[in-house]
Amino acid sequence: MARLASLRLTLLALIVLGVAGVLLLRLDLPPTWVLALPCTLLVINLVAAIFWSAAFRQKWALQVFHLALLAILLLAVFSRLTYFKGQFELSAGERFAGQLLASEQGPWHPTALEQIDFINETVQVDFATGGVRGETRNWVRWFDAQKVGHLRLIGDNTPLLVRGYRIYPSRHFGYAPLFSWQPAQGHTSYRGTIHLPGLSLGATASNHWTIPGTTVAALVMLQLDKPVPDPAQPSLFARGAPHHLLVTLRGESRPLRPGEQWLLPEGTLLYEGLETWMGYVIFYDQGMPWLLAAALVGIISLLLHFFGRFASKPWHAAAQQSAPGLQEG
Amino acid sequence: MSSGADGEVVCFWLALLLYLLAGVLAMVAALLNKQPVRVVGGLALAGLLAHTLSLGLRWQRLEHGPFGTQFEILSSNVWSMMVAFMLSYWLLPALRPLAALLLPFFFMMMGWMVLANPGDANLPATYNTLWLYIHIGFGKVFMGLLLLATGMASVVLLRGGASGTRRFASLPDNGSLDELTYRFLAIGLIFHALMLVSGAIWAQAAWGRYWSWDPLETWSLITWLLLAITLHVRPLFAPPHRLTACLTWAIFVVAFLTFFGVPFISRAPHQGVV
Repeated sequence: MARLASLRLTLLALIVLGVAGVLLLRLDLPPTWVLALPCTLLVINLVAAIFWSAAFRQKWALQVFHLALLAILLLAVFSRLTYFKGQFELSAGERFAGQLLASEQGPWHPTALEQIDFINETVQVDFATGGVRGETRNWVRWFDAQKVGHLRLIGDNTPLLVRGYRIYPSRHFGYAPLFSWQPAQGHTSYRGTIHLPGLSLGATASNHWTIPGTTVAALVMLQLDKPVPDPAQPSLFARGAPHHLLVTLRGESRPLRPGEQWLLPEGTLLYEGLETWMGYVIFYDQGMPWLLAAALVGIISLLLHFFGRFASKPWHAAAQQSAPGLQEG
Repeated sequence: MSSGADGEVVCFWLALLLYLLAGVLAMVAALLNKQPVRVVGGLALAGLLAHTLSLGLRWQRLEHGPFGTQFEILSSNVWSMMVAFMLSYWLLPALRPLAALLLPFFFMMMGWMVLANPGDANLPATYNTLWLYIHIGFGKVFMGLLLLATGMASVVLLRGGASGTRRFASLPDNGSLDELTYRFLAIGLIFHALMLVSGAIWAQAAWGRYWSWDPLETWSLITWLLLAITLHVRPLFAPPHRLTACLTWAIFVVAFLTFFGVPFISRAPHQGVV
């Protein structure tokens, strides 16, 4: 057991962990598997040292620090087993229905996405001169267990917290033209938005779309009267920006303004207006507050350990010895 | 150019000049085996005041702290390391001859700043949080402590030759320097850990994740591990002072590249944030 508690094993585990960090930077490997070996080594070494190291028994602050380190490693494992993260987009006025663009989760994640109920009401993003993104203001309406709605402003550094999930507006957002489609022959009508590429991807704002229930492909291109972001002056990303759409169907292009329609043999396409869409990051990690607590306990105990150790010989005394013949000016 | 910007530039160049004078004087004094404490300390302090004024005027003009561009990051880090140096100069008189090694480092860093673009930049919206100041503040304290430890480690290494032993004879013996280096590294480990924790809190709020192994995070963790390894080597092997000095230099090199290299080459959203 003494070998498992040895400082030599500690050094080895720390070195292997450092090498694993470099490997993560160099190779595109999943962090969990790369870190599994050094972290397991550290856990074994820490457990052995905590129970069998005489030095730890004499120095309680050092003992607490290493207990905190052990807690951090175990909580990190718990986090990896239960975490969830994903991305999704919502148009203004759209309700979250659990549909994600991408997601990943730990094997023990207790999925409860269906309990998240909120609407993206509206979003505004400031841009400074030169196009640097400023403050994001996203009003959302979330519904509690009794289905009572609550309006809340989220944005940079301020997520929406629902059922342990943290929902953050991401840096991806853009314009979303709202169309309605009325088929000529009594098929189901359709009303929805087309998400144009995010503003973070550049000035080109166009997207392809196939009209529902038909084979008619459309190219929708947004032409803003004033650019957003504007390199020359501060600008605001919000709904209602003056604009027109250039819609191309079957080789023919037409400008459309809000309220204008295009009659086709298959039905009528009505452009209702320009909305916005917002990208979101969703994150779940129940280990997070405990990780923070363990880290703080570890830091405080380390501080107490070194304070006790250094107090026995003041800093002045440690630096006191100097050679004779010093000539001070 | 506005009067604020004029004053900022004048103060910057004045600080550079004063750091240069203080550094050259400290080096010449070390060669002559003298220690003009008051003059070197006075020039360095005057340089620090001019530098503080330059940073303050820039902060007032741009309405944000010096945390965005390479120029600002270099400037604010030189300033904080200079504060650490001046505090040690005042509180630990036995270490004052370190000025001959550390002051040249400052004016070389200032020379690097001269090559960087001093232009303005808007800070991203995610910087509008108190955690920015807490995170960066802990990082700057760590770097200041590490610089002092590296200064002492350099003396131990330079004393390997007869010339170095003679030039730095007025500093405490290698055993005392080794003990002080250990202390600075130990306190540095705590501030580095605080920097990592506060950075994780900020990253969670800003990007929805507290740790994602981006280059800056990973290199910061490697720096912390190197510190932990160095602190473990001492009780385990009771290494010769020169080995501890070499390890201290290794930590400094990795930390320096993490603070001043990675933020400017990384494409992660974490770039430029020190």
